[in-house]
Amino acid sequence: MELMRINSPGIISSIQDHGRKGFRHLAIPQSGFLDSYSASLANYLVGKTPGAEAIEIIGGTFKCTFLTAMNISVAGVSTRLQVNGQDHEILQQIAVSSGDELSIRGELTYLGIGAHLEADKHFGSVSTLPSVHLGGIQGTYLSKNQHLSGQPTKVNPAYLSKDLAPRKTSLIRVLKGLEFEGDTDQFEEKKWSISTASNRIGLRLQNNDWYQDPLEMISVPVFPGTIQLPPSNQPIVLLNDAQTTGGYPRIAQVIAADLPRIGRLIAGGSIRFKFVGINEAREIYTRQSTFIKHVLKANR
Amino acid sequence: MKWRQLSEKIVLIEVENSHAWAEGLRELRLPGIKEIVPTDREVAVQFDDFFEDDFMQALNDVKVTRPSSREIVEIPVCYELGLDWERIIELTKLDKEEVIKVHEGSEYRATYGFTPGFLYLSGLDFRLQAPRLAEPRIKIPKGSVGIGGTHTGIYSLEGPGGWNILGRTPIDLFDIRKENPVTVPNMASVRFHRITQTEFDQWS
Repeated sequence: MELMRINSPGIISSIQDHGRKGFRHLAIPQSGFLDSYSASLANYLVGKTPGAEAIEIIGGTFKCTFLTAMNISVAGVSTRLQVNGQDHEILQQIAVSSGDELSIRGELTYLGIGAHLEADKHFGSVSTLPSVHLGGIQGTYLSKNQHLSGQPTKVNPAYLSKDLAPRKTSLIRVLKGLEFEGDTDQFEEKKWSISTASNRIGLRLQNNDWYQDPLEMISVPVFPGTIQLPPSNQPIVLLNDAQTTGGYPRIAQVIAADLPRIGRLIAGGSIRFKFVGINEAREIYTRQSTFIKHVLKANR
Repeated sequence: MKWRQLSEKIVLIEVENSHAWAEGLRELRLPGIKEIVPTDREVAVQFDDFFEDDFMQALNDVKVTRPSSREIVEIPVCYELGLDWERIIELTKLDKEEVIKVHEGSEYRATYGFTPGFLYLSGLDFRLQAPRLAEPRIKIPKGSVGIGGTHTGIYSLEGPGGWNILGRTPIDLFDIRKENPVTVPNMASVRFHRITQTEFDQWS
C-alpha cells in the first residue's frame, strides 16, 4: 500500500540502510547511513534492527504527507520537526494517521519508518547509489511528488532519553595515516573549514597552509574515514559513497568510533583532528558499542 | 609478506601477485572477513571485528591461483563505435587499421576495482599507450572500450570516464541484479575480436 507522498525532498533525501558488504573488490562502495548511530536510534523507536531501511535527509526542509496510519521517529543533528504544524521532539515514537503532514528541517536526519518499505535491493542492500543505479527506487534520490509504498508493521511502545541525542562534534579522532608526512602537533593545531561542495562521497576541507611534498602513488585501497591529500592540498575525508581505491596519499584515518560523527559534518562547519594510537582507538570503540548495546537493551 | 594496519579493523598486506593472492584468500572463506580488496601494490582485508595479529598465520594457507590455467574469454568489439580515433591516431602515430590489429593481437588480464563494472585490462602493447583525456566525459556509452595510459579497459556501465574510446562491445558484462554480477571472471585472460557495425546492431 502507499505509505507516504514526498512533498519536498530537502537538499538530498534517500533510502539507506546498513549498506553493502563484501563487494568492494568490484568497486561497489559501502553506501548506507552516514550516521549509523542516529539511524540506529530512529530504527529502534519503530521496532526495527539498527541497520534496517530508513530515510536519510541531508539539509533543507523535508516535507511529506502520510497516506496510511503508522509509527515514525526522527533522529538527527540540528533537527526540528513538526507534525501538522505542531512542534515535536526528536527521539520519540510518533503515531501518524493518513493525511498527517510532516516537516523536518535539519543538517543530517533519519526518519525511521514503522513499515517494511518497498525499495530496490542490490548486492544485499537498498542503500541508494545513483551513480550505479543501485538501491532506492530505481537507484534515484527521493523527489517531489514521489510516492513510497510498503506495509506498516505493528510497533511496541518505545522510548529513549533525550540524553542520547546525537551531537555535532568538530573534533575528530584519527590514526596517523600511512602516507602522512610532517609534524602531528602542527596538524592537530589546524582548524579546517568544510566546503559546501561536500557530499556523500566526502567532506572537502579547505586548507590554507598544510603542505606535503607531492607523492606519485599507484592506486591503493581506501575506506570511509580515510583522509586523502590530493595534489591541490585540499584534504578529502572520504565518506560512504567514495571510490574504493585511490592514488592520493592517505594522511589520516578517522577512528571507527568517530565515523558517525564525520557524517554529521556534511552540512558544513569546521573540523579539527586529534591523533590517537590504535589501542586507544579500540578502547574508545569498545566502550561506545557496549554503551549503545546496553542502552538499546535497557530500554526494551 | 609485509603488513600494516590501516585502522582498527583493516589490515593492508603487501604481497607479490596481489590479485591472484587475494583470489586465493577469498577461496579460503575464512570467517570474520568482510572485504578483500586487492590493488596492484597491496591487498586490504577488512574484518567484522578488530584485526588481531594471529590472523597472519592463517595466511600461510593461501594458495595463489595459477592464471595460466584459465580459459581465454573472447570479447567482440566494434571499432567503428570509437569516439576518439583522431586523438588515438595522433598520439600513437599509427593508422586506424594498425591500432586495431595491435589491440586485437594481444592477450590481456582482467581485474576489477577501478570503478564499478569497469574491466581493467593489463597487457596493452606499449605502442598503443595514450594518456587520458584532459577533460573526462560525463557520460560514456555502456560497453565502451578504451585506452588510459598503460592499460586498456571496458566501461561495463554507462558513466563518467576519461579514457580514449576506440570501440564498443555489445556484450553485457556487469549485471547489477545479480549477487555475482561479472560476466568475465576476475583474473581471466581476455582477447578482443572485431565485429562490424551490422553485427553489433544485430547482437542478441
